[in-house]
Amino acid sequence: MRPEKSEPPARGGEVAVDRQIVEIENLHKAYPQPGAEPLQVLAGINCSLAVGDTLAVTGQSGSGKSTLIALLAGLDRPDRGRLVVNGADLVAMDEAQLTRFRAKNIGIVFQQFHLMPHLSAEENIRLPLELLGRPCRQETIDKMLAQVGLSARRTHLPGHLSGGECQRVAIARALVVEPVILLADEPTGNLDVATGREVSNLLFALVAKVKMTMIVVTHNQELAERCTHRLRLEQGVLR
Amino acid sequence: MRVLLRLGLRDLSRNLRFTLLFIINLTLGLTGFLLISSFGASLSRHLDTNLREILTADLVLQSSRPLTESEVETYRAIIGPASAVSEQISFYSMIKGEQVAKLAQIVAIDAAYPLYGSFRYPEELAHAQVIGSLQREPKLLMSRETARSFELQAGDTLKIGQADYKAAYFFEQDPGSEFTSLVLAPRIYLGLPQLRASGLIRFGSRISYKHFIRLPDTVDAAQVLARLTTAFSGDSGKIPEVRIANTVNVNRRLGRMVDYFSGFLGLAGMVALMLSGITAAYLFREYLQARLKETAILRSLGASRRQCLVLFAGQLSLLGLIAACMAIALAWLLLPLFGQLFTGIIPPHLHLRINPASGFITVLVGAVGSLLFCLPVYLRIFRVRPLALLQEDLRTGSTGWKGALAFLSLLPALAMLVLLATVLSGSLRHGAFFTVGILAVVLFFSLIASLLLNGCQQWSQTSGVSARIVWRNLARNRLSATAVFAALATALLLMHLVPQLENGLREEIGQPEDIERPFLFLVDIQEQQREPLQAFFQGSGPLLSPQAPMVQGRIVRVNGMEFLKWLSRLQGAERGVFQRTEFNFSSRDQLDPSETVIKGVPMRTLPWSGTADEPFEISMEQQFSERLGVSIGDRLVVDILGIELEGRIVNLRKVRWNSFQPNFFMLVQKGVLDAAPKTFLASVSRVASAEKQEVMHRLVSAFPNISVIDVTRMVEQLGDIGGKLTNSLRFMAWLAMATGLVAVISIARQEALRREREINLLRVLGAGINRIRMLVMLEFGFWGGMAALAATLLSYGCSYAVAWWLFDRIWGFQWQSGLVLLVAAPLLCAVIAALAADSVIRRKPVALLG
Repeated sequence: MRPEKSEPPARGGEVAVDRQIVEIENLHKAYPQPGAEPLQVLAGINCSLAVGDTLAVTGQSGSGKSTLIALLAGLDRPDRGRLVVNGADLVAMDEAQLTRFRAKNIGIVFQQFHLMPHLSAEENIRLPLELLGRPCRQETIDKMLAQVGLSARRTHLPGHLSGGECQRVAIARALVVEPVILLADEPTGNLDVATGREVSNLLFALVAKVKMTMIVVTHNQELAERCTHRLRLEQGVLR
Repeated sequence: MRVLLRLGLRDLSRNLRFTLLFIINLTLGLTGFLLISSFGASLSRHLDTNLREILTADLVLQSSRPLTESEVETYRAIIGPASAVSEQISFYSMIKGEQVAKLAQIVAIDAAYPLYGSFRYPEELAHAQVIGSLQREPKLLMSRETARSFELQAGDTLKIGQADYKAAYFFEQDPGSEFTSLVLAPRIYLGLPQLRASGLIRFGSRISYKHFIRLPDTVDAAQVLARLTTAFSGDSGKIPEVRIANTVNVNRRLGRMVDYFSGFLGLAGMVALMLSGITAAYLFREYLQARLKETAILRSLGASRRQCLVLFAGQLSLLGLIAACMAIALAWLLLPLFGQLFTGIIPPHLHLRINPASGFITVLVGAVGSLLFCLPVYLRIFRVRPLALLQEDLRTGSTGWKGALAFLSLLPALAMLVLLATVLSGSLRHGAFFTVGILAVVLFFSLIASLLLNGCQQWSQTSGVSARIVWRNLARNRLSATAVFAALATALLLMHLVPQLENGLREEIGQPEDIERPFLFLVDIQEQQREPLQAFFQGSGPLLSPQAPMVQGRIVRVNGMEFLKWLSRLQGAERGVFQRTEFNFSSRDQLDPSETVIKGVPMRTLPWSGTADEPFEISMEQQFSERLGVSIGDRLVVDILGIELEGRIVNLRKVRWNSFQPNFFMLVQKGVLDAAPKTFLASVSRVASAEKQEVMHRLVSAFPNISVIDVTRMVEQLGDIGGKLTNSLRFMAWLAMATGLVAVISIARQEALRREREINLLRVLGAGINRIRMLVMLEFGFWGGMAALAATLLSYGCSYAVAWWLFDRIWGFQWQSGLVLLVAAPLLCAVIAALAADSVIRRKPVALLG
């Protein structure tokens, strides 16, 4: 998988131009089980992605798709192997470094949206910037809201938004820090077909616009087919 | 930081129920603490600044005989010529006015009195004029109230002993008298040179001779005290006849007067604070549980762990600070009311105000304490991992070393509890005892819960679906059910503990109903007056009790050991109780109804021969025996007027002192006191109120040396004080119970809300609203009832233990409060749970499933 050699737009984290954004080598991860052998979820994964690549990871439930996302996001640690994102070795980072790295470089979209329930749509989008201590200009937020089509719903709380709207807020929140890579875990898994299509259209449009690298874990074949690369996780390895 | 502040505030405002419950609960607990500690501090401050005025001197030499010339020379040489000295002789005697005869304390003073403090007179009087006149002429100085009680006008004559004195001067307040209104008899002052004429200073009269000393400012009072103590220490092995008191002694003596009740109030305050702590930790646990997902989201968005910790710590501190401020405001409003409850017991000019140190501690406890109380829960934030957002499993276990860490995290809260309990009780021992006790109670309740849950597991095999769901719900959520049971039962126990102790103290303050209450108490009856006195009451309405002989004697040895050495073996509080070896001894044909032998055998009715090798028998009051460190079988050598006699303790008695019967710490076998010169005590009952004055008047005319104490007046006085103390006890009990009620409501409600998912599931599966409501009520009613049963049973034991340890075993069984608790707690739990469940049931099913 070769990255396109085009100048990427300005991002929250500095983009490693002319290099691969994601490099995964021989990645292993197992989970201990009470009274049994550890469950080998990832057994020597190899993969690399360039700027602007979009990768769909498919596989059966329990095949390790979410584990891969968790490792890429720095939410969990591999047992062994090499994991480099935007030139930084995630395996070598401590907890605090990982947190800082994640905040600057990685956007995550969850299947369950995971919005802060007591913050409005606008406040949810603003939150990552505030946590980073970055200037949070109103026009940036307005622009994000407009891009996800929620300008009119900016003051609504997540409880008053539909599933599709919640996911659009989650996408805006993930993109507002201008990450170098977007990780999406079943972004349409909680939505009906029509809404799911709307959300995936939005997602791909926004990613293409800024030539961002995206990894999508999905069961949705239609969504997977829109990615530039597709891999299937079977028995702990990518095929 | 701004974003954290905004998030925190937004979260609190959106969880208004948690916020309000947390604040109200903590406010109640802190208010109790602040009231007690401020009251104690105000009293202590007042005592510290007025000690010399209360004592009226820097040092006082006190003896039951006049000081010899050489003793006077000795102490004058030590204190130096620049010191001022004032002499005083005081005793109790019956005083006969025109119409009224009453007991009074006669205080003969010289011209130098008082060395500190002053008499407060009406405007036209000057102290120099009054005191000079008292020395020269047979005139009296007393308060207006005393004059009124003797029906005296200015210039009227009052007979004291054999002499007539003129009621000449009236004061508004005399020195050193402001601390308490509870006095045996009103004080009447006369000049020292005028005392001899009364003829009342003779054998049998108990007279106190005092030499007040005011030292120059440049002299170190402690050094002088040490030198005086050495000079008057007497023969080794004997307690000196001249006792020396300084302001520290006064402080200790006065301090003991308030220690008893401030001990109870402190305990009630601590209970309220403890209940607050339990509830705060519980509420926060539930709050945090609901926030775990949001914390994980924040972490996934790049918030550091420190930022998450700061967010929740900030919330806790903010709530604690608000509660502390509200507690300060509430205490500020209640403190005057608290002062009114004690009117007549505390100094009238005592300025009750919020103690700055207590206020500071309150703010500190509010801001930091709530964090410490919630620390075990708070530390769960460390275990929140954003990875859980991908797994949809946000539970945080506490196993292995993490469980140990959670236990260790309890330690700061326990240390804080010990500290606060120590501040309130004034004793590290009591503070540690309280905390360890609470910990033991929580562990005990956890064990009971565990056993009950095993039972639930067994009972869940039943075929009835409702019962099966109820038992399984409890057995399935084992950890949560145990925590709820322990919290609920501890709260109920603490709630029940306070009324139990209050009941015991109230019984102690009140009068025993089964004993005929005497109206008059006769003291200093001479041997030769016994028969005439008997004849005086023969055939008339009033009834004279058997006359109890009274002889003063010294304990010389205990079990062959010098008494002072024996005392020095005693540990802790018992040490230093006795600053004398002289005690009163008496004997009886049969025990008074107010006393009961609780250990040992009754004394023989045969008189002691006095010649046999067999020691005479002693019956000792139980608490006195404990203070003395002796028990049945121990031998005491007693010196009665120079003759040493050996006795053996054969039984221990419990005495109901508030019966006002003539009672003694030590009764000896008949015949022991026969040869000793003695006086007698007796009481008079069945006196109609209208006849009382007339009887007293006739008595004083016939027996001028006998002191007649109007017990009805004392009982009224004590009853009044008892009533005020009871009010203050109730006040604190209510405060503790209010805090407990908040705890029960919070726990029951939160637990019901936690079942939201299960309730929804039942509803979706087709269970009717009434059935769900019934299941919830049954589950919570059962669990609340079991907690109440365990708490009630244990609280009887605990309250007895506390009464035994802190309040001289003053304890009264009170079944009513236990019954109320047993009925009210399950009902309250069931109703609150049903109400909370209703709010879940009423939601739309689609929202419930979402």
